[in-house]
Amino acid sequence: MSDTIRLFIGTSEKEDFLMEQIYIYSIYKNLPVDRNIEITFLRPSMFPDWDRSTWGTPFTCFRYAVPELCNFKGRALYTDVDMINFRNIGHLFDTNLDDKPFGFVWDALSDNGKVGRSQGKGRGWWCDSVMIYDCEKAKPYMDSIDVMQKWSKNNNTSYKYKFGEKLGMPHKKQSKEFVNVIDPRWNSFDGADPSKSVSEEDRGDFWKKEQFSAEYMWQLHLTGLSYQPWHPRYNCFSKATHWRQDLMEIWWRYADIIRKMENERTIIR
Amino acid sequence: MKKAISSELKALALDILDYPLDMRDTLFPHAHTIPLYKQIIKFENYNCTNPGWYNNSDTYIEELTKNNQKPTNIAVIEIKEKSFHLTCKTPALILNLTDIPLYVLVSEDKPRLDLAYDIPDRELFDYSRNKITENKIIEDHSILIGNRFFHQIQGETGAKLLYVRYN
Repeated sequence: MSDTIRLFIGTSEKEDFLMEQIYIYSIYKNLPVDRNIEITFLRPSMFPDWDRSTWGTPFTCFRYAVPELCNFKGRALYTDVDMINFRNIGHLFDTNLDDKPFGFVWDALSDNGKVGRSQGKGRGWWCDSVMIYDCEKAKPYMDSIDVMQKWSKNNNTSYKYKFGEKLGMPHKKQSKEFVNVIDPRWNSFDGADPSKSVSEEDRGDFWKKEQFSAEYMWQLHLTGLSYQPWHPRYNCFSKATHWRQDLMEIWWRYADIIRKMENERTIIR
Repeated sequence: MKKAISSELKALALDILDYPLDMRDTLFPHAHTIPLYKQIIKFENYNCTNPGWYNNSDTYIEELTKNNQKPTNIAVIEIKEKSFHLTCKTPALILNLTDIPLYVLVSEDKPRLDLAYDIPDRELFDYSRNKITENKIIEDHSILIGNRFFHQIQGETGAKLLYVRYN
């Protein structure tokens, strides 16, 4: 395994600028100085022909391009941009995949799409906002970028569900042949443990979900678009106050550091 | 009207606008607009999570309560090159946070205000013929508008304001 961490970050063209800087800052804050990292932002301008019409964010399906971008060689890590890192991300990159092509955190409340519903399966599927790829082993499960970029246009649905079906969605047991489980602390949904289920009637109540303290989680994922403190412009008319003010205090503290760095013109661009 | 807000609130408003964000909200297309507070019916009110606001919001909401009316919407705005304010008829407090003047146009006649979005020369424009009153608001000054008139805010790029609504 290469020692260099290859990290791909799904993001918008410029609407998540401050969040990008906060995430990068938090990664370097926890990364040993002797560990190399290569960071690639996956932005819409990188994929001008990709039909994005069924997506919830400007970058939703770019994550599935990662193995091809790596020429189906070596290991790669993908994460969304809306994250704060609290632990050496090298530990995540080095996770033992047990010879399987993918590493995901289990999301107990994930929607299984039409297929799941038609089969009467309850919620729960692998969460692809943090993904570890063994790019070579992943190759048989990946469509080419050329196929994926036309998917929304040709099928009027997100490629996300097609990728899920390739891994056996909604059947967790079958999918474990291809997927190794990542510790849920690497993808804490707005401060909660994504791997723990709650009853259907409690699903909309954030406080019924098991919470991680900021000290316990390894990577915070600010996944609720309306609750993101920077309210990106692609979701600008739906604003709500984030439930975890303790985590917001961290976000604003890091934002202040980025602002000061920018004023000093030392920011990483 | 001078000194509608405390120096602490003014400093906070300018501080929040200083983050490298480029946010938007409904009434000010293309302007950098950060909502601090929104009263929301049938849902939890919105409060900005910036600690300076979040930890003192009750005090600031109290400070911005006028004539026993609590604010329903508080935002800070930085005017950009392409930005404009949608003409509206909501009771509002408009406070200028910088030395770039703001112009608050007021009229009973909305179509006339809508036609005044692009005034080429404020000195030549015939406000009285158009039944519009122009209010020039300088730094630290404000205007409180009731619900009888429509208003429209204009300003140069870089102007910053606190906008409080009471609907």
